Amino acid sequence: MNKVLILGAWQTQFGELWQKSLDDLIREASLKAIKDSGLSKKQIEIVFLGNKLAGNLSGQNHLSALFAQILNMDVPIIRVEAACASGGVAIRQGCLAINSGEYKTALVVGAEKMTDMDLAEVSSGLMTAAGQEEQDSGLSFVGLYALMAKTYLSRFKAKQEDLAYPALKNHFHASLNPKAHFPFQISLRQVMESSLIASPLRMLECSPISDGAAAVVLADPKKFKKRGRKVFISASSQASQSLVLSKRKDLTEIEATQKAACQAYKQAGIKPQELSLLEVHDCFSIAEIMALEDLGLFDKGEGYVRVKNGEVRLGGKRPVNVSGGLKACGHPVGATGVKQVVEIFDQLKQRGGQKQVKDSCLGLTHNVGGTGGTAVVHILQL
Amino acid sequence: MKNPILNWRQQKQKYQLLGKQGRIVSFTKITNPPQGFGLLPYHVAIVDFGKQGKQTGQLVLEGKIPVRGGRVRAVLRIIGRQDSKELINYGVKFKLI
Repeated sequence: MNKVLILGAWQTQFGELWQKSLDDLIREASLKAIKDSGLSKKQIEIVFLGNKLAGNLSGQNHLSALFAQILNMDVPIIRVEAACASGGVAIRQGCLAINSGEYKTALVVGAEKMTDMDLAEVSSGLMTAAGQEEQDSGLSFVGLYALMAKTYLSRFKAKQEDLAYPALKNHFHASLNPKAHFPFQISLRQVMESSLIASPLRMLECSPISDGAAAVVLADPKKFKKRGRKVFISASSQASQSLVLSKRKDLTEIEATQKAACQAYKQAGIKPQELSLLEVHDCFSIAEIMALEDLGLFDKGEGYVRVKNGEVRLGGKRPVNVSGGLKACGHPVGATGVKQVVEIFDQLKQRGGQKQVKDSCLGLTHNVGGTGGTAVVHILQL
Repeated sequence: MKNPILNWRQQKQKYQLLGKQGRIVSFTKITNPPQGFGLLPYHVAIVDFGKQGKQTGQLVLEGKIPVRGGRVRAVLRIIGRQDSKELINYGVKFKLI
């Protein structure tokens, strides 16, 4: 893949935003990202919009036309749906559009409005990203990741308490992020005393239901000679595997992540150990531990130890999820993959605020759909 | 409400497991269920049926404690019911043996 230039980016506040509609979130993220890029709205040639639940929760599936109405635009607008990886896949579609030579600029937006409906309706909507046999068994996504966590704990002799550390770290990071859904720290005791949702996963090890949006403006670097610190997407890869867990060989890994990561490292010509920072898909604490192993940072069964010893905390060797991750920054599903790119972009531009990672020059984003049926990896560099 | 035709088509495949024995690959205890699964708590497992492959389903404990590698038999049971006016959804659960 040829490098794609990121001209501008924006993330809205994430959280329970009663005063904001899906339209408001899309409008804010899009217009502020365009403003940040230095372009005008008329210079945007194509739009990709990542969203999963607007049909279920906002009664609107024709999002491309809705977007045209909100932004008063008449260019091609394409809705991208890949469960919780909708945002990441939308970014990849933007990169492919620029690489095709057909478009010089692309706006990629991820947006989700989840808190208007009650928990049962949101949960039912989310479960449409799981297999039929899993839905019929009374599983939720917490239950599905619990099946993976149980296998992981048993195989690698980890304790239930070890699962809490990604949540503790990500809440610490979120405490430095004013746009996070939960900008405060939590203690190990609070995690271990929180309600058991699906054994062994507890409430404070699960990402929340959030509202939010994020957007980036992509461009062909040959056509735009931007001054200052330039950030490029140097790799974009995606892989797939079975929808249901029962058809997988091993419940302690996600093959789609491994394949997407392998392709991304090859495209960018780097090794995982060269990365300055990562934003990974920590929908549940076990998901971050498995992701760090599947992305090749740590050996199998080592992830939980390395998270616990602070290696991936801000100030550590290679910080992971400095935004607060899905766990504490929030998880408006269609926005998450785009928000990850916004965070790494801001970090490489040295505008990460209190959570700035020193000397960051190479970052990775990892976005997962369902229990790993879809995985998308992007590598950003100066 | 689950469409009866859809239910029948899916169950045709599921019923092939009835009476077969398998081993628990992984399981979890659900204490916070999705809509339509009211009787709490319940256990869900992925079970390996050998040549028939692996399948996800609820466990029938009857006083026993599930363990990874434990043996189960596929049995017919009520799966879920949204309210009293709806069809009763029968399906396969896995009974500990």
